[in-house]
Amino acid sequence: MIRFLIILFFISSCGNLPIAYIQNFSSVNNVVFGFKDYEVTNEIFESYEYSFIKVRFGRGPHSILILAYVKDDIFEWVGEDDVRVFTQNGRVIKTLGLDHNLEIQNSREDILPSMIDSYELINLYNPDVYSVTMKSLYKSNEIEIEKLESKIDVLRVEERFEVSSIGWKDTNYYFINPSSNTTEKVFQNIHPRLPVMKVEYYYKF
Amino acid sequence: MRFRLFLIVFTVNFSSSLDAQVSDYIYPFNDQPSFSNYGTAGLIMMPSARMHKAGTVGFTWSHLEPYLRGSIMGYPFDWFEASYQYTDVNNKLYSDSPEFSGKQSYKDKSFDAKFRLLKESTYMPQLAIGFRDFGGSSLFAAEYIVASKLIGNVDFTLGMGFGTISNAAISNPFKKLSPRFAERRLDTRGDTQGGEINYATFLAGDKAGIFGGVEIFLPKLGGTRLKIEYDTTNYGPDGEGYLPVAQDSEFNYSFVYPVTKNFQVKLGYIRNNTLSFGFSLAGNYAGKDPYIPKRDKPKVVPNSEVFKSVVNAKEAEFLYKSSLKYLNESRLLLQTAQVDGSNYTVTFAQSKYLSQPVAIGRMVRILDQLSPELIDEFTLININADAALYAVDIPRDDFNNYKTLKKTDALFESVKIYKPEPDIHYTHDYKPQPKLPQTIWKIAPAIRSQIGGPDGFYFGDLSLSIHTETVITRRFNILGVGSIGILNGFDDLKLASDSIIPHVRTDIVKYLKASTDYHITRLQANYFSNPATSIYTKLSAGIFEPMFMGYGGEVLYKPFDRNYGIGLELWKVHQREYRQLFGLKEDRYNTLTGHVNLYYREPISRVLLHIKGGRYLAEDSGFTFTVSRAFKSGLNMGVFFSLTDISKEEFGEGSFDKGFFFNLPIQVFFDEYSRGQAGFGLRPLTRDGAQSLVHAQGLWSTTYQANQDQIQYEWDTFYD
Repeated sequence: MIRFLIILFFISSCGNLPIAYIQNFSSVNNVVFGFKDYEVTNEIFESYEYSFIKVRFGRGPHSILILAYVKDDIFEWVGEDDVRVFTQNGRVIKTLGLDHNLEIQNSREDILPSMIDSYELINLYNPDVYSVTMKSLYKSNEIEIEKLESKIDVLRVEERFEVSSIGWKDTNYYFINPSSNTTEKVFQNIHPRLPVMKVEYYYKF
Repeated sequence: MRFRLFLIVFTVNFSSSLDAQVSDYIYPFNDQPSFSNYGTAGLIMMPSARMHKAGTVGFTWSHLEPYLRGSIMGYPFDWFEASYQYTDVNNKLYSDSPEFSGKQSYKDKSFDAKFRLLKESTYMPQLAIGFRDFGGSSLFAAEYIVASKLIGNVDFTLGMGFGTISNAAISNPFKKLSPRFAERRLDTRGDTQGGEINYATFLAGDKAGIFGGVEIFLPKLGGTRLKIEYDTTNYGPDGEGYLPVAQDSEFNYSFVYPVTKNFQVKLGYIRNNTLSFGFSLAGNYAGKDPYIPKRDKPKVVPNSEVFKSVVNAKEAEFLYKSSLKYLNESRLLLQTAQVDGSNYTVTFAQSKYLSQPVAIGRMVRILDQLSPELIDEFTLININADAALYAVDIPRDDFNNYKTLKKTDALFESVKIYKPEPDIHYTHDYKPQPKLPQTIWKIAPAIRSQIGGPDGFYFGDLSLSIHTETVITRRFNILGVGSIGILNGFDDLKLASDSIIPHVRTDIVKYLKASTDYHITRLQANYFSNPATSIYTKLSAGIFEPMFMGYGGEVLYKPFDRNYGIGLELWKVHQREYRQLFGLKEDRYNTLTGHVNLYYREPISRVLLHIKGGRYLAEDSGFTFTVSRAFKSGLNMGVFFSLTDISKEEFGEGSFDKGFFFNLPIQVFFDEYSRGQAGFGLRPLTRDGAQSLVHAQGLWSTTYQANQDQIQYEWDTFYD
């Protein structure tokens, strides 16, 4: 929004637009209208040798992160600029290399816990706060999503969370494929200063 | 005992640190001062002592009957806020003559300045002194001394106001210092055309006002703030504006909500009878990469080991050609190359990276992937307009040793930066010949605007501009800018010049209206040379700008290892026809104009002082003083004023030429490097006095990288 207004401001204030305006015209479009979503087709999926995730923050550009390690059921995905995303059963439990990062301490193993609500301790970075309590409530329903050019029936888990000590609350969504018991995608808020993180999982095993 | 003391100290420190971080979430963006309806950092109508950080540029807009106000502000230093206010005064017509005004309301332009006197500390408040509308019509002229102190989540402000923000509640304490302060002598401006600084009124007046207020940061509401203030603005007949405004209460209330760190919206209730609303946009651009990290990564050469160990180890020719290919792919244009023992020298030109060290760093990465092991040093020479502007010797081992941890400081210790002989590249073995002449071109939309005249608030047209550069030889080029009109919004623009000196600028309306179909802005031929190490020259001829064409030249003496430059420019110019094609104006106005230019850049603050003295387009003689500051991102902001030998009456409204500008690199908003700049410059009034010729590719900017200090300043971008 701010970039949009700044661009408008400069466009309307300059007698003659700088030549670089043309160079960046596609970028201006992206700023104003958001980046186009990038659909992973079967062809693209096949072109990757390893499992990968497609990550996008809000309407921002997408990034591809490759599965680098699996240890104790925690998957470590690595992308450009050494960004690292750690997931457990498809839930993002730790990030490194972003402007603002999250770490869930002793995260629960299942996305949909047996209890109605759960309490976890989280660390947030930049600004740093440690061991603040996150309370989450859940509900779920079945829906259909599209992925790899086909439709899949999934269980959509809605997680309403609140970190009352810093006044942060929002809702996360996890899309779980019951037939494979894998998470197909998540919309997860990992930091109050970041747009929602959208992650799609593409496994090669 | 000591251990217990340590534990207590540790616990207290840790707790406060923890609390400070938690508070960043509870009160997000609380480090960003908010803006008043007046447009400067402050409470609601009253100012505060708060300042944004150096390198911040902002815009605010507010609507509060009878005023609609837009403000532009810049912070060249942490201790200095400069702003320009443009106010639509809805309760008065533009002119005393209704026939002239039509429905157009009065428009007021004013400059403000605020200086921090004392920085806030644990026990002391921040203290500032400010001046409103000090150089204009004085419709809102006021001065203040104000203190602000943050205690918990409440920012308290208390100040003393003079002029239009004084409700005359107390006796002016400065009267005891000097009788000068006893009276606001506005009549001292009687012999002027406005636009002068009214020193005589500063902090003056029989009475003063005590204002104050609080800005309460509300917890867990996304950074929302509640402001309450005691407003001492004089809304009466002798107060601000032209006509009195009803004030039913001295207390004002306002909410400010930060949508993001840089964008705030506000809603208030003022004088117990008027709603106000507005927004502000302020971003800090001081850092090298303030917003968007660049995704444009250094080039990875495929099969580099084969190049290094097999192909390029055989013959230098292969090294040259592979360097040419891979450097050009990164838009680092190899001009010449030579292997001399273990040294590999490459001359290059580039127009992609604003920071020269980024370009150098990326070149070395590519050359390191291509060069055989025997090469242990790279020498990179940058040329522009066929002049070698600087050279850097980089030991290969050190480059690789510091690469992983990006230790630019350590690398800087082992590199050598110097000015080479201007034509050293002609001695190199490998000199690929570019196909010349060659034309590069771009098409861009262009908007020409006229804002705030009596005919209407805004007039503009939209055209499609074609920008070309034809390189005839490396030293000789032709620049062209032509436009084809798309939308014409100048039909109702009528204001004619009232200037009594040659109309070198004030016929702007005629130029705009006559050129809406198509016009030529520039068709300028340039010949550059670098006859001695520190001397640069340029000869130019053609159409320089919308209003003048002619011929002339520039000489610049700029020692590489010094922070100053001395230039001389001389131009014989003819005024162009309004149509802006190839013809001359009917009265055949022509003149000889020229200046001596002195430049000095203070190396620590990066403040550039430019003094220009000589004869201007309207044949008035005098000086222009420009002070600007450059930041790491490439942001440059500054102010200028001119004093020439014409009288205030000859100059007309405004009394003397003045204004401000800032240039912001477009790349700060995008994830790719580019050298494009968005510029914004503003003169409160267009007059004919102290007007200089505008010619493209001036020597100071063309040779900006020919300066050791400039390269050192940007060196931390080497491994980006």
